[in-house]
Amino acid sequence: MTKALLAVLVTALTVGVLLIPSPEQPQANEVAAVDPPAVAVCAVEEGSGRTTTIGIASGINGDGRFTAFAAGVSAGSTTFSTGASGSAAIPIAEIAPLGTGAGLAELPGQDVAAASVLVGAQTVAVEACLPTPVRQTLLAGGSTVSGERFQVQLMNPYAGEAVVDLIVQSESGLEAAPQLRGILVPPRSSTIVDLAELLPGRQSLSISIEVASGNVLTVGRFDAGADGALWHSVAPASDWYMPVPAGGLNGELVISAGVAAEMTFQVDVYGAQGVVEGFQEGVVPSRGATSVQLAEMGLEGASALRVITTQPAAVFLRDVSDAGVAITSGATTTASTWLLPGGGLAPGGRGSAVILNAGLEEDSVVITALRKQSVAQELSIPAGTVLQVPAIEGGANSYTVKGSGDLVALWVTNTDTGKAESIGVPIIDE
Amino acid sequence: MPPDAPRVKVIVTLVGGADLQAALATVDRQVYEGIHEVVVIGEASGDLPGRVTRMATLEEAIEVTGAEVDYLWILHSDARPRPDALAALVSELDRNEASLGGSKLLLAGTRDELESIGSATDVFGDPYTGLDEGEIDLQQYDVVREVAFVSSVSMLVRRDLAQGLRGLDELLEPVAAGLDFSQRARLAGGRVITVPSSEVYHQARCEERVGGWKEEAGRLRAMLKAYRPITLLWVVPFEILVSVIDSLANLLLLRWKVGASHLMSWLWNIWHLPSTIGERRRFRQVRAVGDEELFRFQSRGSVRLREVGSELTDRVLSVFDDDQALARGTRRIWSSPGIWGALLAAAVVVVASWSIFLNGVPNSGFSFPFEPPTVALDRFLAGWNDSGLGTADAVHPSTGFTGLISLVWFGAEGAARTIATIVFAVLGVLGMGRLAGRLGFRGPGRYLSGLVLLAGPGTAILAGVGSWLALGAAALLPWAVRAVILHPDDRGRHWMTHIGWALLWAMLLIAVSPVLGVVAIAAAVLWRLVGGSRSSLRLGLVTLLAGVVAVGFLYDDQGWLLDFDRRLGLIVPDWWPVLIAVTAVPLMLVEGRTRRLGLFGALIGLGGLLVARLPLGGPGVEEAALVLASFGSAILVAAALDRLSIEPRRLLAAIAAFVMLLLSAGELVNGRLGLPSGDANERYAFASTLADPGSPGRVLVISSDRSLIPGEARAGPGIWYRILDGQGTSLDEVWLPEPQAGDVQLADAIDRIASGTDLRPGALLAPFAVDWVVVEGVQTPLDSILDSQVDLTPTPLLTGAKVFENPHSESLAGVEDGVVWHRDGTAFEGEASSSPVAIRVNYSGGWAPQPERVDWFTNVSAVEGRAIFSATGYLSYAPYAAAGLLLLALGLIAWGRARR
Repeated sequence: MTKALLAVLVTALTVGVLLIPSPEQPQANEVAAVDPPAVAVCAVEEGSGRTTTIGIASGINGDGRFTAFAAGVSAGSTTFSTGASGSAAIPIAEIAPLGTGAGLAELPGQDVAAASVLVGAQTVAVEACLPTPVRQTLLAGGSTVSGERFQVQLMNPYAGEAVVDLIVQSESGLEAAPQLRGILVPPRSSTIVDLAELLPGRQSLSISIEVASGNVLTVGRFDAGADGALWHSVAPASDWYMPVPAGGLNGELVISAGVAAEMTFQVDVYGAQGVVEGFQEGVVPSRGATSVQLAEMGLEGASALRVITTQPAAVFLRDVSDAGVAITSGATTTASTWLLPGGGLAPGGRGSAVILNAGLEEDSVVITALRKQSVAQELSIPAGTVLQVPAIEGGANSYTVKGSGDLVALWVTNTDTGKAESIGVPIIDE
Repeated sequence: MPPDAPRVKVIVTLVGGADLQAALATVDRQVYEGIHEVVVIGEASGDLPGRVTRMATLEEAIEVTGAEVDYLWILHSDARPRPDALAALVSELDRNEASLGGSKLLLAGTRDELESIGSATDVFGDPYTGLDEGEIDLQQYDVVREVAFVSSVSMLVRRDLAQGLRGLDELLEPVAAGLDFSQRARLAGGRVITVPSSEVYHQARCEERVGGWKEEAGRLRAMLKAYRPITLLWVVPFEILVSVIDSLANLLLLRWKVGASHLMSWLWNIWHLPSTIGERRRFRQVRAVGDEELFRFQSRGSVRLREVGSELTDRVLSVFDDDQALARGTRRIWSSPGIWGALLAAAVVVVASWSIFLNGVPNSGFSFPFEPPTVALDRFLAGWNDSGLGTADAVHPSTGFTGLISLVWFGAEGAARTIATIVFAVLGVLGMGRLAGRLGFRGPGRYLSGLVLLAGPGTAILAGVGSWLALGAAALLPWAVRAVILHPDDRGRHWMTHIGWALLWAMLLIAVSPVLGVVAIAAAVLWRLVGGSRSSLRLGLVTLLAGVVAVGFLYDDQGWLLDFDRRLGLIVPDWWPVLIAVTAVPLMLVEGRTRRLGLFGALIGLGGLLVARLPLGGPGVEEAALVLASFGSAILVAAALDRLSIEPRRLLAAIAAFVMLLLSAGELVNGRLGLPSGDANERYAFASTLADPGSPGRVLVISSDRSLIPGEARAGPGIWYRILDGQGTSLDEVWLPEPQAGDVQLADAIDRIASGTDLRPGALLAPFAVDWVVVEGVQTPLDSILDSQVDLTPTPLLTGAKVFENPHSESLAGVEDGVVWHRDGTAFEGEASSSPVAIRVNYSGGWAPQPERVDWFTNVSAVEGRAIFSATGYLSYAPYAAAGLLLLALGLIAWGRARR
């Protein structure tokens, strides 16, 4: 009896041990939701008759810092305040004699944007600074035929080095220059890849910037004649809006494929008569680019295009004419509020805002010139139409566009010898 | 021929080189008159006498024998029997109703030198003659007795039995053939006797041509043919083990052929396995009794190992022992199975610690170097606890223990650590053997169980994460328990000796694993409950006094004892409790002592596993429970292997215990006693080598895999992290103290970094003197964030981890004007200054001179050029009380011995 009881005791204890679940492995705390810092990386250039001013646009009064960096070190730094106007202008010349470089703007909040306004004796270029690095971006619109210079500037404001591959497709096919692969971008530095030197004589260049390690932000620099353009690369998407100013109707729409597969696209047109869907269709070759000549589309006055692709792509507006050179990317979203950093900051303060109302209802829009004494102007935009609004007299650090519907805004800068177009920065509606 | 005389057929088997005519002549001279016929087996040269017939095989000769023949006398042609040899054989077989008898063999050409008087064997079939080398026949063995086997040189066998057994196995060499035939005869129900009055001179020609390995192969075949499957199940693995040990031991004696011989014998048997299986099948029909009948005539242990062990000892002792007196004594020792168990365990321990011998103890997981003894003892005696961001809380009591060890080892803490680790392993094996002996075990399992203690279900897992202290706890636990269980012979000892030892062992145990301090008294109570005697509850109560060693630590770091979330989450696989049950339940069904011992071990082992799984207690409880699980399993293994038997319940328990033993030994084979490889201090040595002289700061180690962080880690957002000392981590820093103000701020800083909000994590970490951030493992949520920051410099190092230097880090101790102070033991010192020195450790008023809280850290006056810490509060006296208690224990032992 005792024997049996003891055997039962041991068995019961064993069963007890087996029935108790093994202790759970200790777990780390919940992963924190990443709230990236409000920063923007700006291309800058000082010297050779050119200078850069950073325009800040926001709706808030706060402080920030701008640090120019080159060759692995901070070349200079300054703090700024957006003040009551929510804007600021930071002349790089007062920070550092930098040459061609880059700077990191630490902004006072998330709904703040910055832009580089690059001015030379005969040239002007305006482009919003880049907020967030992504692994793959696309850049198109540049070319390297005779008399043109096309450079890709890879900017790394961070402490770690980055390695980048440029997958370049031209009308000759996939470019195989070894200098395009494994490009090392040291920390707090920017690296210039001169495509005019590496790949001269290319009419159409579609570039996929693929980051192997680290983080890099990319802009294109294009010079043709006396004027030049500055525009940033964009992440591939399938739905693009591209406002077109009245002066840009002789330009071209460049659609660049982000994948190694042929894709089709459809272009809807917004004009004075409203929206025309399926205005044009076409095909983009694998990793390549297709240009749509706007002159052939019969547009009249300020217009806008919506490009829908079957695969992720990027859309750019290339406007090269006697009036100057301008290239900018499209927008991937509509929003009720747009920041137009650097708008009105170029000498003379001339320019205009091109505003698309992609919604189904007329929208009442307030356009504000941000400066010490900001000035606002209210106007109405019918549904499906585009309005080009001239700059408010007196110059500005930046502009804002506020409505209530589905808007897309672009800023056009005009000087006597050049022009620039820069897509605005949307404030994503909650 | 007398009509009632049993008729004998003489079968002479040819031996190469032997004179057949002479052999036949000796047969002719036999005085026995019942010889029916004479047969020669094989192709003999020359003519045979007329009455002698020839046959091809022994099997044929036996088969054709008619029923008129009563006995067969199988005789080698190199044998020269005395004229009365056959008569004596027939007479004694008749008288003793035996079925098989063998003659006394004397070596021909000598002065009656004995060759065989029938032999015993061990369970592996190795013969044990009991004769000394060159022993002369003085009729000292002239007693008819049953033996395990008789030689086939001259054997008389009943005709019906021989026909049933189909004669000798012709594949076997003479000795093996005799063994095989004798075993089968016994299992068929016959008695096997030796008949010393039948004297045969043997020219030993048959042995001259016998290759050693063939005899061994034959013995193996005899074993495989005779034993039942259930016996083979444990005999075969043991045979392999014995062969390996024998081979290795012979290699020490510069004999390589033995190993080759073992190998050949196995190959030979594998080749002949079909034939062996056939023989087994045939023999099954005539088998009448079980293997127990064979065991009756077998010696304990292994003859082979006994001989080689004895020879090894002779070689060693011959250096000091001219007259071989000691060597003769050791022969008795080798016949103890416990000694062989101890030796085997010792061999495993040597193999298990080879890397520690050669490379020292690894610094990984929870295993770190000792500090210099003065520093360690200073910390233990209420000095500054430098773990993490530092604290005034008491350090783990092992700090004092390791300081003491290093002090004893002349201050060489590195060597002391290596020696201590080896000593732990030896102590564990010895401790289990001694405890098991005190509990009444005598078998081979009592020392072997030490391997289960060191690498059983709990300790293997603890050692696997690098818990050096758990290894020490396992080694010391049996000694602490043994100290409260008195041996009958100990009753003559003075009570002071008992108290002294109980205190000493308990203090050492508590120093390495404080929670195990309660085990001694608990074991004393449990031993009483399961029916044991001689456990002393008073001594158990005395051991509780030893808790003073750890009282400060347990009070200050209650989370170590109570906080389940701080556990390491170590999981013992489910098959371990099943194995324990499979071992223990059969033992519950046997009588007496073994049942009690088995129950004692099973309750401790399963109790340990139960506590380890319950969501109660912190890492201290987890560690103690896992060590207990191994301790209980070890006792169980000792019980199950104490007496090997084929009685089914004992056999089942022994097999399960053997599996536990093998599993445990397997955990040890990495050469580091199961500890993981690696050297964390070397891995993070850059923090010291790349730092300004004398001022290494701290390293923040981050990983999403907790096991990749040395020592205890804290949970962060999707990661684990901990602060390590840039000048190298020591054992006192394994456990992190309860979080204080600095730790809370550090956690906030890490949360902020993980949120990605801040572009400058280096600035956030700078106040904590974090010079380096190391991200271990493949992927963490911080990877993208650390790729997108501007003030931590990625530094490519060959560690495989992502390493970032923080150029903005504050000095661990420094004055405002940039003057850096450096460590001096547990203090800091540097250039005197009128400005205060900021010591980046959690604030404590124990720092001097003129401590002042600044945020979370401590400022002190730099006027004296030195900042020191002194603990306050009554618990700060506890370590001194512990030191006093240690001296008291040693004094009691010495005094008790003197009074004895």
